[in-house]
Amino acid sequence: MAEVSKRFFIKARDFVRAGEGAIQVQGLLKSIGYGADLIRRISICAYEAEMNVVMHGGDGELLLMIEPHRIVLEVNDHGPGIQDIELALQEGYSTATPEHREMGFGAGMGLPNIKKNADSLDIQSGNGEGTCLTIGFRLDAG
Amino acid sequence: MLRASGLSRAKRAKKRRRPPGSRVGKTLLALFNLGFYEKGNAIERKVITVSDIREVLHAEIFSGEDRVNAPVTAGTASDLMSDMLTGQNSGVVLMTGLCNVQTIRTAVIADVAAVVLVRAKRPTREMILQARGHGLALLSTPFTMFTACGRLFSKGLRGVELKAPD
Ligand SMILES: Nc1ncnc2c1ncn2[C@@H]1O[C@H](COP(=O)(O)OP(=O)(O)OP(=O)(O)O)[C@@H](O)[C@H]1O
Ligand SMILES: [Mg+2]
Repeated sequence: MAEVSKRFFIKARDFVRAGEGAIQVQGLLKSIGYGADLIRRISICAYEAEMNVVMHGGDGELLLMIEPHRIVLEVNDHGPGIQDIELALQEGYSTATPEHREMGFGAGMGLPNIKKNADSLDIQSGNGEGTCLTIGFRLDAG
Repeated sequence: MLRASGLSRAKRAKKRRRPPGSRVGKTLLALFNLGFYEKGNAIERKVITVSDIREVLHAEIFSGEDRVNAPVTAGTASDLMSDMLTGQNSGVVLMTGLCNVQTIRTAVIADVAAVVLVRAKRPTREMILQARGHGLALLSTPFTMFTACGRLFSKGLRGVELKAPD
């Protein structure tokens, strides 16, 4: 049961607005007054996941749910899905295009960085099924 | 003759390199490095301001004119977004050759204090608006990445691995 729940639309390949959802999540968490480190971790995860939807996925959404003991980010899209999740989680693995790399992305560090910053990460995806990331952060441990 | 002396020199060198001498040597070197490290980095490092950066880098400022006394705790340089998103970059100055609106958004997410575009790259209107909207200082320097970093380092600014407390 979420006390606060916010939804942000993500448009695939829209590099003009890419990352806006994550920035709004960051602003919202700052206004509530969470600790700087927690805000940093959540914002980074939201941004990495949102950029992945813009670059690799299809249209989708970013959901922020604030519960009494945890904060959950759900990022889902209706894109091509991730064929091999194990492989995608490896540092350095990337299918980014030259266009993405020109913008400074495509190091294959996004998913590993989400895993590192989150307390829990669940990835549901498959070929042609879209992708859904559920990223959890404990509130009790600061 | 030549060969013999060569051999004996090699032998002597080998003898010198053998333990426990090498262990003593290593310890002494480590102690020396520690002293040097302390002196060269930890103690002399400084927190500088956006105003200092503007001056040292002969930079033009596009955002943050109203907060030029904001402190900058360390420096980092990269053209890779993931470098900004890993590690502790809050409150630092980022030197980059990447000049697009994602540079600004990534900097905001990473909570950096200032972005310096190197090689006289000029920000777009959208970049300036975004930076202003998020209280991020945005500057442009005519210097190359290497020179810009060197100039700030010589002013006492250090890398994130030796970051002054926020
Ligand atoms: N939402 C998604 N839909 C489809 N494929 C995805 C999605 N997210 C990630 N992937 C796949 O997983 C790979 C690894 O993702 P990851 O975020 O780790 O690296 P990257 O996005 O390629 O580079 P970086 O994040 O460092 O800019 C991607 O290159 C892509 O093939
Ligand atoms: Mg990514």
